[in-house]
Amino acid sequence: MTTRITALRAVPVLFLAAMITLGSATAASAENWSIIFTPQIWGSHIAENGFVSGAPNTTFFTSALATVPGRTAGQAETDSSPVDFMNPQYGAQLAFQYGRWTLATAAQYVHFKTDNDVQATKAGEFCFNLVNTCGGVVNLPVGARLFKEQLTTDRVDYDLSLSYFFPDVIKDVLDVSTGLGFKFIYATADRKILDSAVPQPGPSYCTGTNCLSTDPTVRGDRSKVTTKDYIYAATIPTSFIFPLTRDKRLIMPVNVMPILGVEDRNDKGVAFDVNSDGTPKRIDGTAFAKGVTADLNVRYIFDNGISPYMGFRVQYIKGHETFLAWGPLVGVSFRFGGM
Amino acid sequence: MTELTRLRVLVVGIVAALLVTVTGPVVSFATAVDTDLESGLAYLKAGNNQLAAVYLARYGERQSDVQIRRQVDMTIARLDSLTTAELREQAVRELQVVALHWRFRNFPVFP
Repeated sequence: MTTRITALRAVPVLFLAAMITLGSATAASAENWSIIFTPQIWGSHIAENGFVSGAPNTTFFTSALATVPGRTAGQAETDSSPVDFMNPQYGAQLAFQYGRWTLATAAQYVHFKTDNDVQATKAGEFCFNLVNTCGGVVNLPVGARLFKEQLTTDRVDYDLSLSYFFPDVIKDVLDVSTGLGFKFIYATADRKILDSAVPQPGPSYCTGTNCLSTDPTVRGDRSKVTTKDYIYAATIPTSFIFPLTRDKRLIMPVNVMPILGVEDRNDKGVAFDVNSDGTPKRIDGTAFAKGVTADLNVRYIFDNGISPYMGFRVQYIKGHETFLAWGPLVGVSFRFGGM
Repeated sequence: MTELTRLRVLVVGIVAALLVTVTGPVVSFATAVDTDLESGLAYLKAGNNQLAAVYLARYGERQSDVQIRRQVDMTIARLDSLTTAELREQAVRELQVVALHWRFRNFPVFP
């Protein structure tokens, strides 16, 4: 596992190095062509980790209990929160421009942790083990913790886009760039139980044939489970560029990129809800995914073709669940050739 | 900030520093301002109309953008009427705005 994550972290670094090499080798190769290389860091505050379900789903405990008559069900809520206030998302983009056309590719990587804390909001009984009927019933007061888990997620984005630039749509006020693209997101998460109302060691909760536990010897042998998530989406990268000074060296790009596609997630049979007939229900598989990435930047264009920028970005993606993140970003573009 | 995060920031910093210090002098970054234009503007500002016309004309001939050529031609045509320092500086500013080609404002959306 450590080797896999280390290899995954090496991907963006190698990608960055490859782009630097490519940018250097092809610089100023043709006068009509420009090559733009842009490394960027987004300090993302990940408010909601939509790439992985909380395990178990909050309603699981009470829905599973409903399979046993005569019980008094409690109620619970999940508080999902980031472990770190900010997680840097590293990225690099390589763009090829010919006239008003731009072909761009980019890669980004972020590593972050999320805690899911399930607590009782109404006193009563909760079911922790659903096989055919409910077992492992625990009676808890208000405020008691049912379950706490930590998700450690690695996310990699790859993007490809073709866009067209419209200078001076409103003379000296607005330029517009828009196009079409493709986004691929790969997220993998390790799920680890931190605490459970069920006395440990023992199964913290079970559904069907699978259990999660702090003890790997219990049924299912799942003290730590990896979830994989893939998003394939079409994108519409659009930029509205407002010059802030008369010489147009200081500009304010407002970037908006809607995405629409599908999410394919495999929770490895761990994260379950409950069907109406009381049987376990998986909540992964394929679902529509939509969302938008939007940022506002201030960028300065130096005479030597170097152009630093800083701004603020928000990203929302809704597939099986909601991913929401925001935070400051900073980057610098290096333009090669094109005069 | 964890040790791992500090390490990542360090790696990115090193890569960025290498990019600027090593590749910068080797490869030719694009330049947003042409040397002929720079010379032409300098002579224009200094009041040397003859040399200003030479360099500006040389710059204008290489431009494919109609707006830039028109602005250059217009500036050359009225060089003799730019009799005060204020007028010459105004002409320089007008040409600088136009001469920063729109392609330098064209950055693709970082996804």
